[in-house]
Amino acid sequence: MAYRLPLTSFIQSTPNLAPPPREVVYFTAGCITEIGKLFQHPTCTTFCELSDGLHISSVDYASDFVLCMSTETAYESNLSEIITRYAAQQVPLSDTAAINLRTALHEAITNAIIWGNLGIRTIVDSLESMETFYQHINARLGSEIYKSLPVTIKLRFQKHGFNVSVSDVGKGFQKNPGNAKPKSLFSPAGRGLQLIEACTHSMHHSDQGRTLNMQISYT
Amino acid sequence: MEYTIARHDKHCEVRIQGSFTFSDNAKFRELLNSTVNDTLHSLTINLSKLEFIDSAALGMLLLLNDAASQKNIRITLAAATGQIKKMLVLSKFEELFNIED
Repeated sequence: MAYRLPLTSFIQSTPNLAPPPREVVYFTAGCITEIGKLFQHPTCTTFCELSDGLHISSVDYASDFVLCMSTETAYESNLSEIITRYAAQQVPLSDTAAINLRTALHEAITNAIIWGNLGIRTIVDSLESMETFYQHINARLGSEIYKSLPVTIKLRFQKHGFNVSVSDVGKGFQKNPGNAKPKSLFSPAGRGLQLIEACTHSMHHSDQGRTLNMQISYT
Repeated sequence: MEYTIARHDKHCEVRIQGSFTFSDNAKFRELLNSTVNDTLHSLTINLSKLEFIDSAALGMLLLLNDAASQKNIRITLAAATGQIKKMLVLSKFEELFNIED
């Protein structure tokens, strides 16, 4: 069951950009500012805490939005599908565009969780390393510190497409996205950025590699 | 991700449905252990009911292919549509697997 609180409650309860509480969705009207300024943004009108799943469409709102939640919640939620469904309700979206948006979002959010906030560095190149990889993920998700780190998604509706950004608070991605390819065709890892690149009009990192910015067409 | 397994002598068909993503690693291991063995000659993975796949799951398919190759099992990816088909094409999986419409 979703319920709303005024934004001021959130500001008072989380000063100085402390990690947000679990399962928080909030929206801005008009221009989306940097996350550091968001809490003071005068047009940020809705703060919505969802305690029973994430249902963006249940909030009567049709504009740009910012969605911020803990790493644990992001890991457990099917965010890319939820956001894509919401976007398709706001603008005419071709099947290709819906595929591109969902795929790019999913890969970007996964990267923000795994490589960003959880700081996993294990490369999966065998069944054995895959086991180690998931052991590390589960260990980090068991930590109050790691699982509380925020993942922030911004979606802005432009004339011909979306501006989407996904941010984490990890050490930052350093690799040039233009070189985002797996080591070889047979490599089981390193394919995420390559898929994002293929599904977006353009993409680039900012904030020292902590934010991935993507442009995705409506068509 | 949900799956069913149908065995026909030395051939096996797996039908996967739903979303196949990085969080399905445990089910993937279960699937691999249930299918790849010394008696099998060929394995078809029917993707007609699969709605979404991510890069991690594509990597799991590659690991499945590696495990199957070591036992001379031929893998076919069948009936992919929509997002699944696009991901297989982008990843050039036709160079690694038999692909059937």
